[in-house]
Amino acid sequence: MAMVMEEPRRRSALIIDDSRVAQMILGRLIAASGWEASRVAGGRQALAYLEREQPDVVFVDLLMPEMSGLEFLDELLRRGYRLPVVVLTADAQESTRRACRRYPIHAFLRKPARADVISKTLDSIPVAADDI
Amino acid sequence: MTSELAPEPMATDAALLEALRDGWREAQTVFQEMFPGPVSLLEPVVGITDLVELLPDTIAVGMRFEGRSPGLAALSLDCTAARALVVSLLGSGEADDAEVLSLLTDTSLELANIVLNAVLAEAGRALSETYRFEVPALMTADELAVPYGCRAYLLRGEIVCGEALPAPAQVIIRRASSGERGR
Repeated sequence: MAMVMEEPRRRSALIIDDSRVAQMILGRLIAASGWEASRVAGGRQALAYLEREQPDVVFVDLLMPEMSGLEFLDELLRRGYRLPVVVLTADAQESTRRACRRYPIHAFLRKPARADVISKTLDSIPVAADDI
Repeated sequence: MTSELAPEPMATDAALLEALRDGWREAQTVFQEMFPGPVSLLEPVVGITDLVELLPDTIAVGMRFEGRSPGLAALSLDCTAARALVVSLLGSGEADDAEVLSLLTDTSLELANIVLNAVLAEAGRALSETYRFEVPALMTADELAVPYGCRAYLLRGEIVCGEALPAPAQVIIRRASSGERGR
């Protein structure tokens, strides 16, 4: 009897950034690491996305209109999410880094996204228990 | 541009001007990391001015910042250079005119966000200040104008994209006017 091998599920990342260019650059780097990338333009869209999908990691910008990245992190906490979150921001001040500690973020990275850093960060994302 | 750079900045400004130079060097790295094609930012003239004017055919993005000394930072780029940067991002095979046009503003906003953050981070370190930033936005020459009695720090350099001739690029940093504070 032939055995049917299941394709392993491609790991997925959600990009939250109001900049289409930033989405495009990061999306390419994530795809180059063999991951799938979905993109949304803001925190509200991201929260709606998370109600129906379960990405392995979320990349979030901080400076966004309507809902900032910090407000998004607050909302994740309030709703009880425990997703790995990577903050990717141009604002690398220590005060900003400290402000992100309200949520147990996985990494705090400075824009622009660099291929080696993104690849290394994705490699460090833990595999979800139901994928093992 | 008709603005005059002060030939001998006041001694108290020297540390800040040096920090802004460091910020520009950070921005040079940013350009190299962000764009796959050959892009370089040439060393700027740095100084203090009370008159900021935009050259024709430039795109200007400003970002207000709050902190102990609130203000406005802006990046202005020659439109042709901005367009070359978009083409570099898209890759020559993918770049059609409509797509380039649709990404021109977005690329300028994101680039300004990254470059101005790099420059202000150095300024903040020099002044022991931290800043909170507003979302960057396209700005007119009127919005960038230095209020009466105030001064602006200006870094005036050039950007080179591929084989193109160097084109103007400048960073402007000025304190907020009384009307802009607490907006």
